Amino acid sequence: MDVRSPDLREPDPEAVETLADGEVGHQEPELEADAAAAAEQRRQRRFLFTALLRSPTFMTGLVIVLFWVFMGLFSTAFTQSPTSIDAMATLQEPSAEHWFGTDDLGRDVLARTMAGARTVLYIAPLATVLALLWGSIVGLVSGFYRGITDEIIMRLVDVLLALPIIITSILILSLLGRGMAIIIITIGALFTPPVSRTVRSAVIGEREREYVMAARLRGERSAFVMAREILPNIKEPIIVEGTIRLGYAVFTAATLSFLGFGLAPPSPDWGLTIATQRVFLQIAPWAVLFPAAALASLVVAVNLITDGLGRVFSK
Amino acid sequence: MTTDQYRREYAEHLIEQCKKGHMTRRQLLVRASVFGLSATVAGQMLAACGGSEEETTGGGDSGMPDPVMGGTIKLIGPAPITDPDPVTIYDQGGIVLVYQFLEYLIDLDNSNGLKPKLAESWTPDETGSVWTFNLRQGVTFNDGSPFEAEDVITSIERVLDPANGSGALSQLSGVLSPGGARAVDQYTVEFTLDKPYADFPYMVSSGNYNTAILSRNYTGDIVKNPVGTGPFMLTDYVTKQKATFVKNPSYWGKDAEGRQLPYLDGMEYVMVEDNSAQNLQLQSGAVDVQPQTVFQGAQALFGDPNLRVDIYPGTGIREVAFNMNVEPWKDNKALRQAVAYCLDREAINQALYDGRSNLGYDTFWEPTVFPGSPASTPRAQDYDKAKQLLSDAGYPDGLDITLTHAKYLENPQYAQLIQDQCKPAGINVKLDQLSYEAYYAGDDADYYGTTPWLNAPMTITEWGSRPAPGIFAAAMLLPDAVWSSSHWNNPEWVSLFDQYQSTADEASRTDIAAQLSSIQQDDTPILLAFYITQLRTQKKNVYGIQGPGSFYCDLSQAFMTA
Repeated sequence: MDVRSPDLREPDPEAVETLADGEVGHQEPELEADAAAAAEQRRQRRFLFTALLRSPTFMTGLVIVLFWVFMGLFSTAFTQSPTSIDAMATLQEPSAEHWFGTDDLGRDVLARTMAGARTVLYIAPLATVLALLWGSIVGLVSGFYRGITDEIIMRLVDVLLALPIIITSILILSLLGRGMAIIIITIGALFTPPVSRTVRSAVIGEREREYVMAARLRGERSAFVMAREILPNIKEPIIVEGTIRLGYAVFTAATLSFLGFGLAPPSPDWGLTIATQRVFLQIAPWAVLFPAAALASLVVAVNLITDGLGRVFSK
Repeated sequence: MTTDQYRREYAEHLIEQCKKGHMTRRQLLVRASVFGLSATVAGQMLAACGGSEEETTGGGDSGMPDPVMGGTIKLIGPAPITDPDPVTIYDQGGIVLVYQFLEYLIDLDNSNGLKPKLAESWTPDETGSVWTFNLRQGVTFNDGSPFEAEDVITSIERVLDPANGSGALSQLSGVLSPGGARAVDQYTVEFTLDKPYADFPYMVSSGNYNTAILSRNYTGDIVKNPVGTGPFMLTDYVTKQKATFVKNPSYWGKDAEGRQLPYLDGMEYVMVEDNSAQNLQLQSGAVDVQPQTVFQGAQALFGDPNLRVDIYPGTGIREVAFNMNVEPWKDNKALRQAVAYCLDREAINQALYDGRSNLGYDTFWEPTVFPGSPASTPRAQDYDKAKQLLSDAGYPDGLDITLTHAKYLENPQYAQLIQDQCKPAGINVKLDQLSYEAYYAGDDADYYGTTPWLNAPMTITEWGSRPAPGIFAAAMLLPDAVWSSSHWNNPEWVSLFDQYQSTADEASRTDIAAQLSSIQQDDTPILLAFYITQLRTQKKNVYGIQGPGSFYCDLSQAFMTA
């Protein structure tokens, strides 16, 4: 039996594309099928894109996130320096000169709030990417092999899931020291178990499908089957899981900074700023409220994106 | 010359210095108290000086009502780093606690003068090398045992033993050796010093807070065995949470009207690390007194109608030390000076203390803080000079340095100010902010050789008030001082300091102090940008707390009205 025969293929266009990528010696009917699959894929992408554009939830979140990305990258071009100290102008209320007021060292709160997005937008996405990478590998292996491998991995994941994220993060950072790279790796590692759970569930649903069986029958290596056959077909749950983890990562990074285990002064990082300025809450609330509102807006925006994606994918 | 003649001559010398304008009336009182001259004699000396009364310093108990007996007062402050041990304590929490149930031979008043406590009087011989202390009679420890000369001797010998790791040893090293204290009789102790030392009474006062008088039977663990002569007795201690005290019914103290002290039935010390949480508890009325109020974040307390913030002319500092055991500070005076000339001290004072503290210029002999000290040379921010010094130091293109500090009090803000002000000169300061515990942590086997505050290349360390410049200097600038973060060793300065300690003549002391100050400033082992005005906050119905601000919080005459 020709395992690449069109009638045995998984109707999913990506699976079609994947199989087509690996084949040698195309025949005409297959070429036609490939073209149809590619067209179907394009159609689905257009549908997805259009649906996301029409989703007020997604678009609202996206605009807010893009605003903070822009601010994180370019705000210093049109605000004052976020670390410039003016010892003679401490804790000044919002004014024409300082729209958001000044903090305890006379630094411009507007500049610090805008620049504060930078660190969290480095840490959270990179940590999320790491979590998705590691979680996908673990989930694929566990879900694909099942049996004793699955049992061992999932019991370990259960143990890791039982650990409180913040306390475990503090423990790791206390042992390894601080620094952006360590924070990213720590958050990424701690978010790996929930991602692996999601991926495993999706893999279990896919591993018995015909296209997977076909790949195995034609003698593909397990790694190839997992990476090139299964993974593309479970990208939707992974993307949604990624956006969920991104929101948590933003919050976790800010929490660690707030607790003093994140970045060190004079970083304008939001969590750190909230921690250092909260003692002035009664006399200079602006120094806390603006970075706190910024943090909240980013977390809400990421959640809006998650909701929007979830609704569109469910269609 | 007899001792009485010597004291009389010294009193005349002080009066002469005061009349010539070399000494203020306040300074005369301080020096008279150090020499053990009674309040009556000091009053006569002031009268002989003439002139008008100076502004008195100290707390804000104006219009104090008659004392009210009873009640329990609640204090709030940080927990001791470790369970308090009077021989080794060095932190606010430990000192405040110990101060409630242990006492010293001599106490400090609000002007850093000395006042009798367990010693009723003290006198030097004519050489200043033998000091005789007459102890208060009829005092008992709260376990019923009598307070006698033997208790003083064992307490002092305990801190002199290097094995006990007491910070007081830094102060007493080279001044008093083991065996230097002897009991003349049951209530008289004679200290035979290694050399004449005019400021010796400070060494056995509460200003050297490890010299608290313990029972001769003390074997360690003061929490389990809280035997002392103080106005309160420790009844309960919950680590990192609270300490509870009740009044000592057999306390020896009486007020001016002869009423038994303390007025209060008891006190409780609530341990809370976070300053803003402390402030909120004060404002909510949950606690009555905050012995040390940190200005940063306490601004709201000033406007609270239910609270009173007392302001004291303190001498507390934030020592910025250059560790001269390591590069780049080793043998590089120009580099240390370059950093000093980067600082805008007025701006720092404004940012950290709303301009309330006194400026410092990297010397302990600062006349605005310690009256009678020789004038120091102000160091204004001067980037041209800093860059030139940087070039002289071998770093014409600037350099990167690391400043280690604890996340405690206003140290993080101070570190950022230093970082900001050094940048224009090309000095890039990397901040290494540690938790309070991590900053003071160290290996048990070699604490002083491993703890960050004594071994990091550049540090900020907070020091509470000290009553005299020599006390600060002995604690952190002598080569054998265990609390030296700079590890400075300048033989010329050490030799001069030895002379300074030995000299009683005020004019000669001032001359030597001028040289000491000049060398210290020039060599710049540490930066002293300010001397902190101390704040203490209490409810408006709390009165009578004694002792300078900072850690010393004497509640023996405290009371609360309805």
